[in-house]
Formats: sequence, structure tokens, C-alpha cells
Amino acid sequence: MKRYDCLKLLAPMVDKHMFAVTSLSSNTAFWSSLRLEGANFLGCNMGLCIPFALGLTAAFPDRKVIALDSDGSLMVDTSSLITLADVNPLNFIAIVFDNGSYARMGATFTTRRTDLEKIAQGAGITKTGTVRSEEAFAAGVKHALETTGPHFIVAKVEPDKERVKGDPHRTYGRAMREWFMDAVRHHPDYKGGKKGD
Amino acid sequence: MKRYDCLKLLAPMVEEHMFAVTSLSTNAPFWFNVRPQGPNFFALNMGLCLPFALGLTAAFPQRKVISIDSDGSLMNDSSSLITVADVNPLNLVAFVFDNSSYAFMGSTFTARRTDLAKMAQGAGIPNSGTVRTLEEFSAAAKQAMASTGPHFIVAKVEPDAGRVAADRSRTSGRPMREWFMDAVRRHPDYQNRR
Repeated sequence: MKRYDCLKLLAPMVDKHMFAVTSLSSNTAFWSSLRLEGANFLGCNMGLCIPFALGLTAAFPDRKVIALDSDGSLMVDTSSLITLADVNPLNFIAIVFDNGSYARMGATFTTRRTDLEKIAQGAGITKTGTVRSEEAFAAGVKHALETTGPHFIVAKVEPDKERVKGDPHRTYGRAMREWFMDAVRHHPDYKGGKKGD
Repeated sequence: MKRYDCLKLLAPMVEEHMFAVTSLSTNAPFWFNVRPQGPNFFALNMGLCLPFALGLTAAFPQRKVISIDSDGSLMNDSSSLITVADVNPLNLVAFVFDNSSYAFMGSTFTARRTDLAKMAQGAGIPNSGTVRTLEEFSAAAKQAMASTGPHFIVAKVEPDAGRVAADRSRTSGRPMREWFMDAVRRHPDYQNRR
């Protein structure tokens, strides 16, 4: 199963008022080419994708928030799963693309003994799953979007061979953040912030 | 089950050349009272007890290294369980005293949905379990000390009511570290690396 194929299946299911948050590297480049509009926060540093998305669930409790994380990133801070389980946000969907490698720099722990779904269950998240085919991925995501969460889906994918060049203004740094904040300010659920927000 | 009673049972099982590492707060003074001698490193800051013990297992592969951690501390960096599972140190015995509270400051996640033994299994440590009585604790500790690890034992204990006084120069800061390094240098397995 390829990550890009999964994301292509996911993108049409994400309506324009949902939120998406991605980890660095492939998730960011792929997602930015598939969902150009809407509130996307791209390229969270390692360990920060799920925590950032968790914050958004509290700010926008009536919208689904989708965290597109990866194995290397999540394992930097698996304790975030404990916080996630404890806060128990009903509108949260975490999808972890597990390619068993740190970009092209070697294998991660998930190729050996570690099972991220089991860790999430131990943390206290009950709605968890591991998917290995595009059919299972599509079904898992569809179910997660239609039911209350928090959902935690591990998608076992091949290491990425293809590359997509994301527009740096949309995927990185201050320009990306301004795109995101603009989408937040135009969001129908946005209640306004203080001046300068 | 009380933490101090568990540690009193554990101390006689720990031979003089085994290593012990404790987290902050209650574990440090309690352990000092039951095992004042030998290579003990006390009062590691939150999240650092298990990683420190893991390093010792590599330095002293022929000796058991006992990590005496607590729930609040371990949850500061539960990813250390993944590293432990991956390194797979045969001589590590990790205890987590889970009183489900941050000292006297409120309850932790383990009072609600989180199961640390299950997280350890997910990380890849198959010898993981939870004990709730002194008999279970004693049996699990004995079994862990007598077999190859890594072992991960969660001991569900009451919040600690009593306090135990301990010599602070032995349980914290630079004097503690010097006691520890002294014990390391005298250790029969120590090979002077400089």
C-alpha cells in the first residue's frame, strides 16, 4: 500500500470545513497537492502533529480534525497518546502512516517489536485499527468520519518512492501559517479572537 | 498495597553488585532506607529513570539493573519504552510504582484510561505485567530477578501517606553522584576506560 494512494482516497472525504494537520516530509508534500483549500496546518515538527491537532479539536469541537502523522514523528512523543486518550476528543481522527523508516535514513522500531496501535490502546484509546490495504484504509477512514472518536488508525505503507514537490508558500513557514490563519478566520465556526490573533 | 512494603520486599533480592536507579520524590528516600549501600543512583528527574537504567545495562551487561520508576515520571517520556524494547537488555528489571497521582498534586492518567503495562507490551516488551498485592509483587520480582529480561512490572500502590527521612547528601545532587561513581569504580566489573 502506498501513502499517496491512501491520501488520494482520503482527500475527497474531507469536507471544506474540516481541519487537517500534517507531520513533516512526505505527508506535507502529498497532502498539499491533494487538498488545496480549507484549513490545513502542514509540516508540524516531529512529535507535534497529534498535539497540535488535539488543540484544534478543543477550538472547533463541531468539526472533524484529522491528524496525518507518521511513525517516526509519533514515536518522538508517544506520551501524546496518553493526553489524547485522557482528553477524549470526540471529533479527532489520527491517521499514522507507518512506513517503518525515517525518510531514507534507516528503519524505525515499528519494523521490529513496536506496535503503535497497541501503544494507543494502552494509552486508553479504544477506537483503534491497523490497515494494510487501500480497501481497509478507505473503510476505516469512512467509519471514523461518520462516528464519534477519538479514532486512531495505523496505515502500514511502503517507504515512499515517488516525490511530490509541494509549493513552499503553502507548505512551510510563515506563509503556510498565514494561509492557515486565513482559513481559520474565514471558518464559519470561528468566533473571533483578540486583535492581532 | 504500599510502595514502602514493596521496596522492603525487593531490597533483600538485590545483591550488592546489582545496580538500582530511582525516580524523584518517594522512591528515592524509601529506597535509600532499604538499600543504603551499593551502586544506587537516586532521584532522576521525571522521564529519565528508565533511560538512565538502560544505559547502565549496556555498561554492566552481567549484572541486573533495577529501575524504580513511578507513573508520573514514566508518562513524561513513554517513548523510552520503545527504546527499551528495541535494545532488549536481558538484564533490565523495570518497576513502576503507580500510585496514580503526581505527589500530592492530583491524579494522573493511570487513574482513568491509561494502562502502562499494555503500553509497554505495545512498545514491544513481552514480559510486562501489573501486580496489585504484596504476594504478586514478591512473586513477580523474584521471577524477574531469576530470569532474563527485559522485565516491566507495574505495581499498583496507594498514594503514600507517610514520609521517610533520608540523608539528602546521599539521595540527591553532587554528593549522591559521587557516592554512585565511587561504587561504580569499585565495582568488580568496572573496566577503567580512560
